[in-house]
Order: sequence, then structure tokens, then C-alpha cells
Amino acid sequence: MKNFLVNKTLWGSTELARDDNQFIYKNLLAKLSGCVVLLSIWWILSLYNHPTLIPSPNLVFWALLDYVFDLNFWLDSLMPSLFHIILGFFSAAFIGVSFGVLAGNIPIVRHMFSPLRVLTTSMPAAVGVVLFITWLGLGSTMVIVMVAVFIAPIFYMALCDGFDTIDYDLNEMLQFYNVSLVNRLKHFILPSLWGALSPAIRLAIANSARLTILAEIFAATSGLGERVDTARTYLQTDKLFALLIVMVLIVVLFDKFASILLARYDVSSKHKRQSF
Amino acid sequence: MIEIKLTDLQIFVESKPINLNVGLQENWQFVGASGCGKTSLLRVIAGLHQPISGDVEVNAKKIALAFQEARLIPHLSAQENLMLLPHINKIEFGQMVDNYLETVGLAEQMLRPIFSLSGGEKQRVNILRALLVEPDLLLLDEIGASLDQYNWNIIQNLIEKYLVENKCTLVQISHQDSRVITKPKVYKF
Repeated sequence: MKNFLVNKTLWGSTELARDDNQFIYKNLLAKLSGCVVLLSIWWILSLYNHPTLIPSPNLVFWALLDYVFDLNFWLDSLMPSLFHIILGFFSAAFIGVSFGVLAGNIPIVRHMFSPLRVLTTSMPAAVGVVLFITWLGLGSTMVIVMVAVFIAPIFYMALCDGFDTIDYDLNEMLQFYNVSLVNRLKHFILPSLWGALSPAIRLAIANSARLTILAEIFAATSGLGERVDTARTYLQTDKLFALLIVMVLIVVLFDKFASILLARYDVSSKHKRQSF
Repeated sequence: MIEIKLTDLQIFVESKPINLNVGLQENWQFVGASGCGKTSLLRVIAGLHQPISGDVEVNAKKIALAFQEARLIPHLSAQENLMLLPHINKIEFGQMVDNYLETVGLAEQMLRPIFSLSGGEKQRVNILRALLVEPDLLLLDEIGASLDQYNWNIIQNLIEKYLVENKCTLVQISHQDSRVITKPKVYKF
């Protein structure tokens, strides 16, 4: 006998599918129909507007194809952007996690860092770009530093929240029974922090990509952002749309990769309610 | 020989000083109204809580505390929780299965994650963990509350057997006189 998958919401329960496969197909169909609706709206809008305002999907497709077969695009734009995103993300993770562990365990440190956290989380990214260009000049260093500074608070705040939700009674028990630090980290501390850290990692990946492009538009001598700036200058809207699709694909691919990795190491999710 | 010596011990600001000597292999029960400090005193003896004033002397080499709430890692199985104890290896765990698990009716539950166990089953894992430490001093904090009569009788027999075989001292808290291990000396708050 097959199990019925049920979606539980605040408004009640609805039957989703009779088994896993039907559930996957239904979801895929819903996503595809979402894409078709978007494409249709885009196509209709392009019919009534000049191509410099809204190029047709057809034009954008050919512009995208041009990029795919252009070696310079891969070497001078895509690779530098990926380099900026990855290095910026890992620098942010290192800074945010280091400070987060300190602040999560030492309350006075958290109070000391709070003005810096408020400053970095409330500063508009465009202002940050201008400041970092002033301090570091144009080029890759500025882009990576800016991504690191703006993304680090995501890790920092996630860890502070994570440490707030740790079950300290369990921790006391583990210390009382002299459970080794390695086992405490592996089976208790990391799974406890994972609930806060996992969505933060996905958010940080998407924001790293977005901030990288923004910083590149203003300050980089290579990368996708630099291409966006050129396309904007010459009103090549079809290329602008094509670059946007490339950026969306980058974020989606990174996010997918991250979600697979995170699900693999999420030991605490076994007992959580299945989310749809 | 004295196992625990409490001298002018004050747990809370307004609580009266406690003076108590617990001898080797003695069995004591702390009795008192809710919130009077029974659990806190047990925690002081276990070294988990600092008193306001007074002296605590505990001579036991190995202390085990069965907490009132089971305190097990929910996503791990019962077996994995017990294997976290630093001195337990797989061979010892096999012997333990022979010694304890069949007796307390947990053999089948050992591989199931804690979150899927009932309150009584979790409590039995909690008590097993305390016994596996092979303590000289066993502290029990209202362990009978979540056990049915059948399982309580099994646990009672198991702990009584352990106390005799291992010359262990016992300090326990229980609200119900029917849920105490053997005949304890009583300290009233």
C-alpha cells in the first residue's frame, strides 16, 4: 500500500501525491509552468516595446549563445567573477564564524561587536562600494574585501542565534559524563548550530554572487559586472538580459550545490517535519 | 568512612544551613516540598552547582547522576548516546547488552533514535547510562516519575543489585515513598 504525501499548512492539510515520484513530478510541473508564465509575459511585453527597452526572448537567446561560444567571455568574465564570489564567500565565512564563535560564547564580546554589526548590516551596498574604491582602488581585491565585509555578518548573526538556542542542559550532561570535545562538537554542538547556520550559508551564497556583480560594475577591470557595465553603456539590452540569465544560473547552481552538501551533513534534520 | 560531608552548606540566600554526613554504601533520600532545593543539593554534590556558602566534601572517585529529565541527544540512537561515554567501547557495549538491556527491556529500542522513544524508555536509557559509569556514588533525581509500575520494579531491582555488587553509595530524590530504592535514611528539608 502506498503512502499519501500530505502538505500541512496553517490552513489545514491537503493531499499532495500518492507517492514520492508523483510528488516530484507535480513539483517539477509547477516549476515549469511558472517558467512558461514568466516567458510568456516577457514575450508579450517585448512585442509592444522597442528591443533596447525589452528585447525578445529570441534575441536574448542568441546573445546568450554568443557568450557561450566566446572563449574570452569564459576567461575574462565568468572565471574572474566565480573567483571573486568563491574567495569573498570563504573570507566572509572565516571572519563571520570566528567572530560568531567568540560572540556566541562570551556575552561581553557580543556587546562589543554590536556597533560594528549594526554598521555593516545597515550600510547600503552602494555606499560600501564607493568607500572601498576610495580605500582600495579598482580591481579584484576591492571586490573580494567588500563581499567579505558585507557577507560576514550573516555568518556572525547565524552563529550568535545558534548559540542562543543550544540546549545547555544537554551540554551540562555531556560535560558531567566527560564526553570528549570531538564527540560533543560532532554529535551535539554542530547539529545544534546547523539549524541557524544552514539557511545562513544559502543566503550568503546568493548574496555573495549579487554583491560581487554590484562591486564589479563599479570597480572591476574584469568579471561579469564589467560586462554588464559595458552592455549598459552601449544600450545592448539583449546582452544585459543574457548576462542576467548567466548570473541567475550561477546563483541557482551554487545554491543547489550548497543545498545538496548541507542536506548531506544535516544530522539533526531526521526528526524535523518534512517541508514542502 | 564518610563519602559525602556537607558543613553549613547554604544553597540559596534564605535557605537554612545543611549539615550532613553520608557514609560509604549508605542510602539516603532527600525529602521536601517542590522548590525547596533538593535537586540543587544533588547538583552541588555532583559538582554542577556552586553553593552560596559552606563546605562540600565528596570522596567518591566516580559519580553518576541520573537527571530528572532524561537528557539524551534526540537525533542519536540510544546505543549512540550510551557509546558517547568515554570508557565504553564496542566490546563492552556487547557485554552490557547481555547484562542490562535484556533486563530492562531495551534491547529492541537500542538502534532507534531517542526522539522516537517514549518518556519511560528514555528514562531507562538515562538510568542505564548512570550505571554504565560504574559509579561509587550514584545520584538519582526523581527517576521513578516517568516509569510505569512494571518498569519501576525492574529498575528498582537492577539498581539494588548494582548497589550490593559494587558497594556503591546512593543519594536519591523521590516524591513518592513507593518509588524509592530499598529503605533509605531520610533527610528532610
